[in-house]
Amino acid sequence: MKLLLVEDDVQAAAYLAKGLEESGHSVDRAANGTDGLHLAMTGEYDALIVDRMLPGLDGLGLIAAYRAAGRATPVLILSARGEVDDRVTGLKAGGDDYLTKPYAFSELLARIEALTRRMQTRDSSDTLAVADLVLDRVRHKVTRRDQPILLQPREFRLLDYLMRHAGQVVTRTMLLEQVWGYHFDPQTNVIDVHISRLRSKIDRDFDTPLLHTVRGAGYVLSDVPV
Amino acid sequence: MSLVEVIGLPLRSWQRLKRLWRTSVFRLALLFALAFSLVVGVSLAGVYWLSTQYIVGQIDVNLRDELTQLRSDVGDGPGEGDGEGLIGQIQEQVAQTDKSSRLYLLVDANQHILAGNLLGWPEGLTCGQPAQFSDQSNIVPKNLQAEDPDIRVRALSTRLADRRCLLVGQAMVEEEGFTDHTGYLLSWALGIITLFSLAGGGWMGLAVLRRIDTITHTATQIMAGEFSRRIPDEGKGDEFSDLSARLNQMLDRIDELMAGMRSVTDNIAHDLRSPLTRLRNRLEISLTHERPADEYREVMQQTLDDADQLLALFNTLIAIAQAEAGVRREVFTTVDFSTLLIDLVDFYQLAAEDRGVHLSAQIQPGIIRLASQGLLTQIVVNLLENALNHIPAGSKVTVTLTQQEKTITLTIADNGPGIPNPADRLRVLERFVRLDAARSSPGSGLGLALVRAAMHEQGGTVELHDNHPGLKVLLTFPRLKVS
Repeated sequence: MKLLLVEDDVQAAAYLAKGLEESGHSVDRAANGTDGLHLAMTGEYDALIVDRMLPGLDGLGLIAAYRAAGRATPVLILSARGEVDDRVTGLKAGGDDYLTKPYAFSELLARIEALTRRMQTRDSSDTLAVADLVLDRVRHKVTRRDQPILLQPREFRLLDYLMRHAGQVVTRTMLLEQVWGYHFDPQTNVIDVHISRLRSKIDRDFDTPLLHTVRGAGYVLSDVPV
Repeated sequence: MSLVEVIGLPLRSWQRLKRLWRTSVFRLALLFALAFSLVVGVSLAGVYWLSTQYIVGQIDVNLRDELTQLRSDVGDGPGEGDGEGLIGQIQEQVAQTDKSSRLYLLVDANQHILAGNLLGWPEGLTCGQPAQFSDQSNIVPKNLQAEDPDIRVRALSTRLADRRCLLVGQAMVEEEGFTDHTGYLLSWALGIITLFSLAGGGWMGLAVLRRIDTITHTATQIMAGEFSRRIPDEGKGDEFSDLSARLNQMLDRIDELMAGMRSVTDNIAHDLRSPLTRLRNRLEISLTHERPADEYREVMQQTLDDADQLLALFNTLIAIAQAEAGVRREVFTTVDFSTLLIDLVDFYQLAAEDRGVHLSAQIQPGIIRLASQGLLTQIVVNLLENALNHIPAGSKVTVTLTQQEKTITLTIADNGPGIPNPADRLRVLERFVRLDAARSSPGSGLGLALVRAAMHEQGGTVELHDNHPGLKVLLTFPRLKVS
């Protein structure tokens, strides 16, 4: 994927770019809002990573101008401010996701991949399928190998989210935010137990496990072992 | 040459007088004195007018009596009397009342004086009309004029059968005296009132100035760096004592915050130095020799974990600082406590089952309050996770939410080991305090400190109680009007 990184901390930007490039993406960099907006408007990118505090044009101003020009490319906001209302203003300005510093690189990578994937599956169909696992979003039914699987509403939403991001890593924080709408940092394995409950329902009676744990990062739903 | 020099007042007293004039109390006293004097003046004038009216009335009655008396004495019937009797009677009366203020006059139809002590017929007076005249010194006897040159005279006259006219008058000497006396009283009364108001206003103004000066003086001392100074309490229990007490409370609170800030700085320095030193040393030692790649990887993984822990510590400290500074108070929204708790308990149900802990909830529905959704969630999460991380399998955790008339009560109680020592139950709410028993389990020692700060920001309190056995955390929120 081709990414644009707008970040004024040159050292942090260099590390990020290195990490993203090693993960197979190509990265353009800008160190201030004005240059960032210019690059964003002239180049074709799959996603933008924009720091909120920038010299010159600030991050939210950049995004607002970019959106006003009719561009729909997903934008991930990086911010040192993590209050809920800051997040809300960030998303209102046109950002698609909001990541608070300090963050883990694996978290950033997972979110960027989720954002670009979301663009591809925005008009997703009523049914999602991974291998022989099928989720019917209209009738709220899940089957695997045509056998019905009974899920609680929360489990259904969790599986729905995992299936929409099938084949890509989703972090615990992403699940906490997207499935439960919480913004805190759990000090227990609360997410893992929800995952293992879901795993027992969709994987236990079948030969091929679909829900995998990615050590140090999160989870991935895929019929290809990771 | 300025006024100060003219009056010769010492400059200090002059400035004090100027300040006194500026005090609201003094001005109020002056205004009050003015209003009071006005009221007193008006009422005294009223009394004076009514009294004068009464006196004049009395005089008229007397005069009428005398006139009637004189007429009946001499027999003023038709065809009767030659009038000589009347002249004699009048002369007799005049002789009797030589020194008094009674005036008599008998004139014929052509206003020629027949008898009496009045020296002439008053100008412009018609016989038979009651009248009052003054400024007619030419007709008033000299002895009366000596007392008062502008003497006023009240007179009644009657036309006799033989067209003569009889006039009886009263010089209003007593009445004049009464007027003078009233004026005299009035000026004294006003003078005394003004004097007392000025003195009282001045005294009150100075008293207020003195109390204010005490406060100002203390404030100056505090600004100069003597932070432990407090406004002395004069023990009078008045509004100034209240104000002083309030200000002292405020100063105490500021002191507390400053002390908190200092201890946070100290604690951060202390608590971050050790992990940072450990991290640094580990990296340094790993670089002293060539090592297999696995070993490097392990060192890096440990370093990453340490860094994550440090960052988490920083985030929590910032959250506590923000909660204490109350920066989020303006973003409070209406939060459904009941739903929030039901959802959180539901969220943690599996984690509890995983630990063999029985998690149950008794939530009174529909409890709503203005709060920060994020902070409230963080509070409950910290307490639930604390419980789950510190109690053995087979224990119970109960979450209850109830609403009383004035408060909302949220308790999270367990029957685990608890905190037996009451002093520890207080201490554990402080930053970085970890009880020895908890040292081995994960955590920064900031969870409960964040709960306390967040509760404080939402206007509530947190208390830890012995649950016999176990720990009961009691959160109390005063109820607010939901807009």
